[in-house]
Amino acid sequence: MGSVSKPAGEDILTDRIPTALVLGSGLGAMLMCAELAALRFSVRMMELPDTMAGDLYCSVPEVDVQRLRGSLMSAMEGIEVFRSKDWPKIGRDQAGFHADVDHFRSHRFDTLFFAGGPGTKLPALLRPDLFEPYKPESFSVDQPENLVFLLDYPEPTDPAAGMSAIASALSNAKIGGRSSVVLKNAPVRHLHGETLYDSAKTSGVIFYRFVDCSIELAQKKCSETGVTQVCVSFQDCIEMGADHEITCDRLLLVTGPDNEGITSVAGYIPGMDIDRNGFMISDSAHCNTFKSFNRGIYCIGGFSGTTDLLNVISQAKAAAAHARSFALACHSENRQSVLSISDQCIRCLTCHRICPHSAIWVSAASSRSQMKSIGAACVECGICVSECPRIALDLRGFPETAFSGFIEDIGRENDKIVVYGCSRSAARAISSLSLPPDVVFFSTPCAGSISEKVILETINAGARGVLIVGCHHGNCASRNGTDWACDRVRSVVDNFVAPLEIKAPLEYRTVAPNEATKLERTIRRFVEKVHSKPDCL
Amino acid sequence: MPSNSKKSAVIVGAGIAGLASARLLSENGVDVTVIEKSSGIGGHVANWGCMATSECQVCHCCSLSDIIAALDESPVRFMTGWQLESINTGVGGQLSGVIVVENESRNIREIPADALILSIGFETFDPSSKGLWGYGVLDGVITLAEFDDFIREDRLSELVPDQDAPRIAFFQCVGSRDKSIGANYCSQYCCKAGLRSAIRIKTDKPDWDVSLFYIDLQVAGKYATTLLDNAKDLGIHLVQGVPGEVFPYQGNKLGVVSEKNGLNVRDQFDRIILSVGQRPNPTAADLSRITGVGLDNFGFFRNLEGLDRFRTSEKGIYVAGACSGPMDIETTLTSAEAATADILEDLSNWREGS
Amino acid sequence: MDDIIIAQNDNAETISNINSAISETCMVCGECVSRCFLNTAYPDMNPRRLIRKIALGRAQEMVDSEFIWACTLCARCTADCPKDLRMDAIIRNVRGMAWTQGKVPARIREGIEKGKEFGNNVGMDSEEFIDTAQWIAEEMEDDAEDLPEGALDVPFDREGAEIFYVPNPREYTSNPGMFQTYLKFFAYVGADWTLSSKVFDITNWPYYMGDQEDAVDLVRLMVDEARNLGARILLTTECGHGFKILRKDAENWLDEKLDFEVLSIIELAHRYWKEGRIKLSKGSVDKKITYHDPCNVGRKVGVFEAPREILREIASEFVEMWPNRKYSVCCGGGGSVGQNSDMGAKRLEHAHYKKDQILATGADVVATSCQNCLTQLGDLQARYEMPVEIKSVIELVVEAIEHDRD
Ligand code: SF4
Ligand code: SF4
Ligand code: SF4
Ligand code: SF4
Ligand code: SF4
Ligand code: SF4
Repeated sequence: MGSVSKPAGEDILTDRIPTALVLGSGLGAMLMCAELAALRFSVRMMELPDTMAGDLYCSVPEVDVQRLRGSLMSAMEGIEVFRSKDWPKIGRDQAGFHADVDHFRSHRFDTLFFAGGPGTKLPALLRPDLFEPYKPESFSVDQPENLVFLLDYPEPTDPAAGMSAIASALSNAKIGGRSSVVLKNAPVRHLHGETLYDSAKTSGVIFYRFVDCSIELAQKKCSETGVTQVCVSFQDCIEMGADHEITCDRLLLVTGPDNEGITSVAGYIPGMDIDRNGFMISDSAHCNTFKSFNRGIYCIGGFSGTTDLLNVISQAKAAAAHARSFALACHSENRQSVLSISDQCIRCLTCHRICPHSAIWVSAASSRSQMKSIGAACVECGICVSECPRIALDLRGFPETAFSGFIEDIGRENDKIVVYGCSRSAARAISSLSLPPDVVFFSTPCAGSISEKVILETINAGARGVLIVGCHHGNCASRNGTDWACDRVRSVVDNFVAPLEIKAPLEYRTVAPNEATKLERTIRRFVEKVHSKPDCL
Repeated sequence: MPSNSKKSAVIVGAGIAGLASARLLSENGVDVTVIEKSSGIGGHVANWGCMATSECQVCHCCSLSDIIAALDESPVRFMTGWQLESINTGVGGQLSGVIVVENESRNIREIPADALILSIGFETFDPSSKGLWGYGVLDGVITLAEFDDFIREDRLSELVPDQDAPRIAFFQCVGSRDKSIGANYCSQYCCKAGLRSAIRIKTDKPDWDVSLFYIDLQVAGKYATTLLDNAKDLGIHLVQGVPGEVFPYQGNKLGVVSEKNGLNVRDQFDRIILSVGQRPNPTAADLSRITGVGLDNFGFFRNLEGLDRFRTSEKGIYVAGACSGPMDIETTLTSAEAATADILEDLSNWREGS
Repeated sequence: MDDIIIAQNDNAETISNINSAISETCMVCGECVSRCFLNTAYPDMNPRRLIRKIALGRAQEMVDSEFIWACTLCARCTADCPKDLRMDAIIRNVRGMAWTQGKVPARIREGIEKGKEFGNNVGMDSEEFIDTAQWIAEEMEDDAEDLPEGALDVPFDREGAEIFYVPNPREYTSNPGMFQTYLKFFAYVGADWTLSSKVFDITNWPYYMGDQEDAVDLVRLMVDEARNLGARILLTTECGHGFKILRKDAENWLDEKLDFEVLSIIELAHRYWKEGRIKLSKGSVDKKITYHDPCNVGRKVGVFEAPREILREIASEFVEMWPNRKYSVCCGGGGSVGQNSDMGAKRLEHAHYKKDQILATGADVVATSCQNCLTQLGDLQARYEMPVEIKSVIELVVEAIEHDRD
């Protein structure tokens, strides 16, 4: 087991030593382990089967991959590394995570990290035989060579990988080789990226900018040496006069992190996020690039769509700090009772299925299986509550009575226009606004906590209109709470409002917390719409 | 110092970087004070609008609101109107546990600090210093931040009054990647910001004509393809080469010449939006004097390399966010939280050693 | 990671960088495309494209192009180049290739050859020069009335004179009136000055052609003569490139410090006025005046304020063109274009931007401080029938002094 010394400052580290499992291999995983160890985690690393070390990360000015690897080696001492033939199946319950593989079966951990990446991308190309994938971590030139680096083909190259390629082109040029870089956009996204680009240019690296779809490749035998060469021809987007043609010994294709296969990996973690670009971790700005909707699960590096070593270092550190505060908080008594599940439950599993944070698990321990809330993972969004057919769930911080009490009030004060809004977006935006006198705003944990029942009851109670305001699609802190709201409004309109000719308008809108003015206009328009209708009901 | 007292950190600058560090340090049990020279918190990001179209464009602006909401419930102390006056160092150059701050009326106060984070952010480039863009001379030439006001205040329709289908152009790399003004670096945020803004306009106003003049598009990360595809699908004209001169044209139009398909082409626009770059915060020089943390050639704080990139030459002093180099919000947040990890590590080690 | 070399492109045009590939750091930003006043005249050519051709091994196309001869070396395109490139240096580099290939305009070649033989581009020998200069001075008898005896005499080769004045050949060929103006100026200020009977041409045509060797020789001649005469000030006439080379490049080219000051006559006039040595009658020119910044005097050397301060003093109204100073638009006649008979009428067509700029000011007088600009602006005035008068700043200064004396 990893030798982890007892933390010294009780003030900042509790007696409990937080534990972590790092899944991955290569530099990213080592980095993650080192950062966790630095924060006094008890760390274990599991090397993934069908190893995914993609030689992915790029030296950029300020960090050198080889040097970093060296310094991480020593940090890895004392960290237990397992190898597994199979992919671990990760489970989660009230006591934390457990991995369901080999001798891990009995081990539990507080936090889980995906670190590493599924390699550099190799897109489907017309003549794959002519290319060589550029692998930043392992690429080196000892002899002067005649090289062409092809970027942005067929998709934009990751700027970090691009800069690494420029550095390689430069070192080849410096020892007398011939380097050409064929690209659409020169990568300089680094404090010293421009300087690197300048040095490459002054050292004789030639940069071409190709016009879309103009690249053609062919093989040629050099008449003198008999060596087979690759011939790249294209149009330059500025010097358009004639076609350009370069022959080289090696054509290196520079791409970025691969997202192939991530979906299958994520299948092993219940509810793991995959974003719309096929990388792990949510799109939501809420999660930044390394957190997930599953509290306690983090992901850095290639899996999260970056090959920029500077960024990966930051991600590893930030993830470790977040994990630490999570691990400290997750065992607090206070969290265990945020959601109660009553014996009204009929184990329909709806809540388990729809919780966007995987915070409900099914305990099969006793003869009767039971739904259990994982307090540490629950963010109290109320989505489960809104879909439970038995009203078996109740949030401590936002009990069912909150809605019913409010709706009763609406019933008493006739003619109110009700705006339900997410506490994270609408409620914050509205705090700076003064509302028309007949509008009442009610802040909900998430727009997804407003059930169809609540909508209907509000209308029945005599509201002249109901407006539901959630976060923008893609930025919901509970992944799809805002989409739940959207669907429910549509369903209530289709199934009740339209058939029953209910006159009270019902609408769904989205805002961000920094869109107070837009929210004001949205509400104003809605109020105008309500006022323009003849008396409803 | 009593052994059971909490460790303290002081954060200089209440922009999104400082606030993100404050939140995470506080969540990890550190006693945090944020000092801020101006009267408000949130920095640049507080003035930026949401770029969501039918879906969020992941600009990260609204993260500020998440962070502030969390801080509201935390014990973190804010001292607005205060700035760093001096620091005391003890054995081995380590911060000795207190720093001195000062406010405008020259009041002095000592506050506990086992760690100090510099997170003073950046200043935007003033494009009037390169006169031919016409900023400050021609009415229709504005900066990205000024454009942002129209979005934040929900009045995009007023951007070009009396015009049904105006022509809008974005100029990228204004004040970045430019040796002639001492900024030979990419500002890293503006390509994405420019593209998002262009997409935002074109989604709201499909009849408007939107062009984006760029040198090299730096769209890093997994959103790169999405952003570019969205821009293309919406019919935003992406033109390589940024015009260096804007001239008045036919009354109140703005004329530019650029090269398209090998020919010099004259275009006219109603508004030109300059994607201005990030420059070092001018107060960095003062803070450098006070703290001993050096500045690099550009005027950003000099950080250490590799794994120590959030540490500085001075023990106990850390950098977070764009004061050590230009960054977008996403990177700023990650860096600010990463600095937190180093502080936690150093504070516990230091305790052990002493 | 390899250490990064920070690419350096010194602002001064040294011999070494004009001969090397000084265009390589160009990042195709496009700034220069829009700033070149030739972008409408040559729709498929622009400074960036030219650099790209060089970078991609197609420099010969440029050597054979008309563009390199139409370029006035005004350097406006690269005034703020993010990579500190200087288009004038790059074009001279390409013209240098043309020169070695024997492909330069006939009129310029002739001038350069005369310069090598006689030290001036009109092929005049010392004797002829002395005669001509004296004859021009004699023509001014009328003006001599209220001046002390001998004030208008032309001094030659006076060792120990404070000022060594180097004229432009136009002054003793096509435009003797200019020479008379300078003579009057010297007389009014009571200058301690001299001409050289050997070195009397400020221009440097080889410079235009990227013929660096001959360009340096001409500078060497002038510098040596200034030393021989022991002058403290090498005073250049209102000649843009001549002044710029001596002031900005000479020390680099010759790799030695100059032990005398290089001043343009405008700077000298400004200095004397500030010192009270001359009096300018305030508002004496009752006209609306604007100032055209010659590319060499303004953008390249940075003399912006001296002429403006003078003009503001003597004009009843002074207006600026926009853009001005560092961003002034070239008159269209610089960089050998005015001397190159092949560019003939084209130089006037190319300069429509300047014409529009002048007309937009509504000024009565366009003042400038370069004889090349003066000729070009005069031709423009005639071509476009602009209702303006074209004058040199010194002409106006002399008028203002005279006004004060009356
Ligand atoms: S949704 Fe309700 S009834 Fe169904 S399993 Fe969950 S708690 Fe039980
Ligand atoms: S409240 Fe939200 S996070 Fe908690 S269990 Fe229910 S759905 Fe999951
Ligand atoms: S991340 Fe940006 S675009 Fe997305 S909701 Fe927040 S402010 Fe709007
Ligand atoms: S991010 Fe884009 S616009 Fe900004 S400086 Fe870099 S290349 Fe230019
Ligand atoms: S301004 Fe300079 S860097 Fe930009 S295209 Fe022109 S020469 Fe190249
Ligand atoms: S004419 Fe002037 S602006 Fe045009 S290329 Fe030549 S130096 Fe540049």
